[in-house]
Amino acid sequence: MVNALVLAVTLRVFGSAGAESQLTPANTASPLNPNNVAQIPLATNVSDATAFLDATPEDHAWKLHLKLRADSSDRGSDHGQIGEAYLQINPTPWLDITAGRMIEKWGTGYAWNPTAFIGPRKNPTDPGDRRSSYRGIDTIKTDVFIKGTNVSLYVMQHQTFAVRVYRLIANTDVSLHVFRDRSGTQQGISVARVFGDSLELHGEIARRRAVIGAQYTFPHNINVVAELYRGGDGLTQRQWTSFVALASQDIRGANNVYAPLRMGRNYEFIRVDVPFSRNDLELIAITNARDGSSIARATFSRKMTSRMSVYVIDTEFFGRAKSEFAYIQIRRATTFGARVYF
Amino acid sequence: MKTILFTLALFALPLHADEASAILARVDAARNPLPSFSVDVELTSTSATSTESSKFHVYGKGSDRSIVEFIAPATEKGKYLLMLRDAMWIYMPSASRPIRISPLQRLMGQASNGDVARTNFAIDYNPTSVASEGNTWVLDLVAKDPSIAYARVRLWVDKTTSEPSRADFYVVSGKLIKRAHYYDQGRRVEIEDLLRPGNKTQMKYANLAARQNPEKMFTKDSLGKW
Repeated sequence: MVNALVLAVTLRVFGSAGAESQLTPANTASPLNPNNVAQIPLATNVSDATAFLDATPEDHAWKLHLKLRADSSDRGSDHGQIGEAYLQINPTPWLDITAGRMIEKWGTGYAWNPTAFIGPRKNPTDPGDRRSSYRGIDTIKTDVFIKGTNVSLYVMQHQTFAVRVYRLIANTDVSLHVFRDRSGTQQGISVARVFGDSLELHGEIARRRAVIGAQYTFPHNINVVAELYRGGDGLTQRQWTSFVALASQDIRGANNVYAPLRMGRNYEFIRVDVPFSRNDLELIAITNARDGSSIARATFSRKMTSRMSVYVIDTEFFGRAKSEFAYIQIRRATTFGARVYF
Repeated sequence: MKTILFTLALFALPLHADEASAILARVDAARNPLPSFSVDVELTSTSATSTESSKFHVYGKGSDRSIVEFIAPATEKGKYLLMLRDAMWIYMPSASRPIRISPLQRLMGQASNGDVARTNFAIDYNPTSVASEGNTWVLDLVAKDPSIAYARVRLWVDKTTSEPSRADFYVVSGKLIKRAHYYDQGRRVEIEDLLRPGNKTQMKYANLAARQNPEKMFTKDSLGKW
């Protein structure tokens, strides 16, 4: 019986392994890093491997899913991580029950997701999580499918609950999100809709945070994403002025407080992706709407074979004195990497 | 005499429309013999300088729901594409959530998402005329909805088998941009990119089988999780 079960189960294994070298010359002009007091190394080498395993029988009555990740750095210790590990059972055509660790990503935004109450926080400069670093939450989840409406209920540790209700209404993705823990309740809504062949509009709003954006696909698959983000938990002008004063008096304290892309409340994002032959060129720019300082990231990648790609990423920072990105402790970040897929 | 000819013309018009619709229905029935199915698809895209291949499992239910599971190459493994009528989402393991995409975002090569996953002309198009060319019907089809990738299609159908042999795809400007040739009872399709001569995509279908695909499988939230 066990052998028969084993024979009837499909096991899929896939993933990637990569290595990167990153050059980060110190920005000694930053008030947070005079004479490189932050001791930022010039070069860092990292590697990682991520494997996804799925096991499911032919009738999909259940599914076992694992995401295993290991990474190492010549500047730190090695790590192993279980990013996801869950068992899903499908007792009825309208009900799924899942238990374990899972990455749940809510929202429709590309660079920001205000409604991602239970998901990992996204890095707007790396929205695609190229090194698969996200780790899931431990939860029991119930999915109920009722006439085109999906209701997902989550129960987590420490009396934490979440609900998401999704429905496609007039060709528009509409999701309602609710999250409750000991500190209170949050609600949000996210929407997305495609118009014609090429235009996608999306938006999210939650307490104190919102994003609105558009994605357009041009001929030859050139894709452009533009977003506006408002984060009520960012610093006001007055709070930023206080930070500037702190940086002139207490470098260590200011370094502890400084969090790029959270030092303002309004940001603008644009991404342009240009695939050509086996190559891909991606340009991302994020601007603090208050002071005009910006991060610009260019990525060139090339598929060497069907299993391997190489890439170069350069991130530059622009901003006048006392603007957010003038305080970045590095002048730039240049990354050379390779990734093998299996 | 003129009155008779005019009356005959009035009766002829509806007959042509009905006949075209019937032919189109037979085409779709021949190409979609199973209400719920799975099939393997291999795509090979060739240009003057390179050849790329991809493999997929496709799961379908009814005439307007399908899921494309990416099997190869390794860089694409683990991705899924869901199509519900005109709405599309792609799921990538790294993103861990389905992303809404537009029809023009291409699956690969010459086969856009619409080409690979959509197989039902009767659902998306209205026939406007039908003509006879030897053993072939030639139908002119107009998209029912402006959101459909190709505004007009001219379709050649074998009179005996009701299998398509050729299809010309036009965009809303009237420009002919793709041509498909169907072989081996539809198990092999070759798509030419007429904007870039020499660029072709070949689609091969294999292992078509009946499969009970539950409704919940064709929901955005189920992508990557079943």
